Amino acid sequence: MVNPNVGEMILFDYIRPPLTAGEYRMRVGTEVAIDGTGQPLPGQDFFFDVEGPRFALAPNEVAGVFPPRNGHGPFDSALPHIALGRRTLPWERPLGDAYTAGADETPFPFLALVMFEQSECTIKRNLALTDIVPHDVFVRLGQPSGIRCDAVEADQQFLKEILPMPEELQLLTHVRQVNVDDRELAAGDSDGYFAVVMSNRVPRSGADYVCCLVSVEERTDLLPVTDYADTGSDIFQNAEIADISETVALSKSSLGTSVIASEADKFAKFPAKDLVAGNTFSASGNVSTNFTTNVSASTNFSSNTNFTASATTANVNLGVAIDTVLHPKAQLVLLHSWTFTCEGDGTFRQLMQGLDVGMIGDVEPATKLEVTDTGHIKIDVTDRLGAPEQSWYRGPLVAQPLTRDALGPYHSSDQARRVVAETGAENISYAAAFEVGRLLAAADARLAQELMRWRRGSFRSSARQSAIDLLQLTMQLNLIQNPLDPVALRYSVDVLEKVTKGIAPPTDPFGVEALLASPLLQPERVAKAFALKTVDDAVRLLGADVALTQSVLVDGGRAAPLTNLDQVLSDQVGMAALAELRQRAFANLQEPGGVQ
Amino acid sequence: MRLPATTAREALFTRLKDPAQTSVLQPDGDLPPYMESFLSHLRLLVGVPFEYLIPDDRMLPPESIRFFYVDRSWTDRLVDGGLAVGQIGSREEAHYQARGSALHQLLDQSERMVRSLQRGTDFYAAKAVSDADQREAKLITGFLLRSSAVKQWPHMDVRAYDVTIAEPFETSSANAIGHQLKLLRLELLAPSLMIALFETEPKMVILEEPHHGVQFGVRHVGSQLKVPLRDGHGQQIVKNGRAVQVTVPTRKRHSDVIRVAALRQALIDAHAANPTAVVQEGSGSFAISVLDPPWRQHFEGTEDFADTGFPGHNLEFVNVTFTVQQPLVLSSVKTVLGVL
Repeated sequence: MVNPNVGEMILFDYIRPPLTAGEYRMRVGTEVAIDGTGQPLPGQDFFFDVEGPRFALAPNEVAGVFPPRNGHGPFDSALPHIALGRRTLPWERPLGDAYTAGADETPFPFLALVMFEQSECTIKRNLALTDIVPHDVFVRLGQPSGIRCDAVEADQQFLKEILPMPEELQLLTHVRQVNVDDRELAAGDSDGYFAVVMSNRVPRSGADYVCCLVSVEERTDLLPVTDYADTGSDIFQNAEIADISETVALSKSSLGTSVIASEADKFAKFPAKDLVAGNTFSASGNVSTNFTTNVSASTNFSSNTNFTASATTANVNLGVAIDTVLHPKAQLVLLHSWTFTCEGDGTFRQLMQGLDVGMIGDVEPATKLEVTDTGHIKIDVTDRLGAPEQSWYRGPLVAQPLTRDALGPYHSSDQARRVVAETGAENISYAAAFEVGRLLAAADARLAQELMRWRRGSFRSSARQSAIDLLQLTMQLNLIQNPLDPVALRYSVDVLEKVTKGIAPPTDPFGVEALLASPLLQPERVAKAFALKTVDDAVRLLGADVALTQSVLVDGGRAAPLTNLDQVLSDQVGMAALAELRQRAFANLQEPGGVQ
Repeated sequence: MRLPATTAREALFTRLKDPAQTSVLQPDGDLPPYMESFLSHLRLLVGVPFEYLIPDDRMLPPESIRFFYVDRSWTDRLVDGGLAVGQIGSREEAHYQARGSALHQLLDQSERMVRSLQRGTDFYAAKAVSDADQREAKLITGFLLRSSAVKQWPHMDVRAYDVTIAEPFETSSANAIGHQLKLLRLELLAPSLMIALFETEPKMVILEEPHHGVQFGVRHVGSQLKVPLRDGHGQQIVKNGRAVQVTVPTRKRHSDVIRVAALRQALIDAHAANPTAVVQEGSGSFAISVLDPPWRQHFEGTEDFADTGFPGHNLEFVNVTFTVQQPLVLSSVKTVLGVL
């Protein structure tokens, strides 16, 4: 067996049960032969019944229905169907003796799905089987005793007209196999097989319906055998019962006049021949029954009687009795039912197919809306002085791709107004857009706060950037690359680095720098730098004394040079001369500066 | 003793490491997230009153769909207007003049994340995704659909493709996904009004009914019932852009009851002219012929292949000449007109 993939299904025409319902006997025996003679051992018989739903169906056997239970929706093109969990259920019982199929032929199912309007049927619960089916059907069913089940009751003739033929029953029942893991299609069923019974009737919009799964086992009294083709008689299908329509008022004609039944009778007297079977006389409810002509037809009614079937007070009982005789009811064994309402504007397909498709700006000419080929329409505005005028407007939805306005950010809606050159009329599309944006933003308090925060943040970062630029200019502070770095920290680090590298302090209040930078130690500059009283003091400080610059005469005329320290220290004269020079140098220093 | 799943300390630690927490120290001058989100939504016309989109009701009649391009200048003016709040002096104007074009470029990228923001994605996660997409701003197109189908099927599937793909195709196939356009916005402005915005121009847009299991059905065409021919896989057979319809014979006195055996015969006859149709062998092939799968509507090209015969919303239209032919009404009409 091929397993379908998720999302796929395989359809089968039928699945026969291996054993149909019934009573079975199983005989077990052993054949023994001893020396050619048979000595059969005693066998044993086992009896068992194969049963299945026949007059009742447990609710858990139903896997799904469509249209959904108590559903409201556009079901007017759907064919109702019911999916049963057991794959062989519709073929477990024979439809009737006349409908047995061979081993290779399609068997006839015993289930049918009938759809009624709510007014066409009544559901009755817990009736005895003998009250539901006619006696001969009961006999053919095998006369099971003590069965109580549900039934649906409807007009017998009506049932005959809507029930499918046995050949059609075969076509309306099939088996579907889906992947057990498919959540959408398998719906929790364990083996993925469903038996599906379809209905042959399509709902109409605006009506309430009840769908009934009925058992038509042995119901040859109700199942039609001939097809209701277009040719053939339509009034008297069954020669035994004359179908006489009930009193209805004529529907209002399309011209607006209303003709009631009794009035209509005055205009036309129908000759009797029109009512003979075979005449194509429209019996779709437009006929009044108050006619008093002679009715002669191949019916069981006596001719030449004035027959009135209207419900007058005098004839109430007669009317009801005749009604029952004329409209006998039939019951069918009901296995499952559900209701739904058909309403709504149409199925998805119908609505989509009925859409008016176009680009924006496509309007019906009948609507008299003037749209230019660029998509603009005229709207009435009042200008600033209060006078009414007409301007052009086009929304953001346009029919052709447009280029983007590159004129930079706008700051007011007036900037966005345009004027049409030929007529002088204004085009306020973009100005309107600006105002809408402004109003939407102003309505949102949080956005206003965020905008201010954004601007403040921008201003702050802009101020910081200006400060950094100034520092770079004046302080040669080039280390700040990222404006987000903390500036004060960088600045102090930079200064410290410069200081510790030994660069001279930038200030020189005493002019020492300048003094040292001059080529000679000029006495004037020295006097100024060290605040000496006279320049002569500076000269003496620098050691430019006349006495100090002369050569020192040493007495003794010693010729031998002094070669070691002992000789130097024993040279008393020379030592005295040097001491005197030293004393003079000290005296020069002490006097002018007062410094020790 | 069982260890707890988490401790208070760990919970606090995780919470503090959340990206939204750590990026509080925003560099000055960057867009606050709320502002960026608000302006991106404005760019896709979220919150703009409907009268500004469709100034006159006659431009979008009931049961219609209108396709459009979005005018980027209009949406730029929306953003300009939004930023005009608080512009009280020349300092703010100068600031905006300097920042305006950079802001618009930033929003060109941020508008791509609006849909994930609408679905509740965290701002920073969404922004990371949209920042990764550095393409320049593309054309924005879309449609407005006003129909009761929106009210009844609000979760219909909307997809746009930049090529025309013929049926049958799976929307989840790699080829289809490769050609699918990014959906920037899909919303219901009113119960029966839907707006959708796509990036770049589509060649084909599909609207698909949500899936609902297996259904069987026929189609109403005028006053008749018809069934489209299907092949063995349930696909409609299409000839010259139209489905091949087979008239469903109905019973004489009950026009809502189908003559199933006669329909089968009609399908067999149609098979002779269309050999690809499913061969009618039994109930399985009959079931395939009356299958009603979820409908996928294509909008492509410039020709309209819709069914003729859809009667419209209310099916009450009276065929005047036919009614008057009936003898009873004819005679009453004659009397009214004074002829009889």
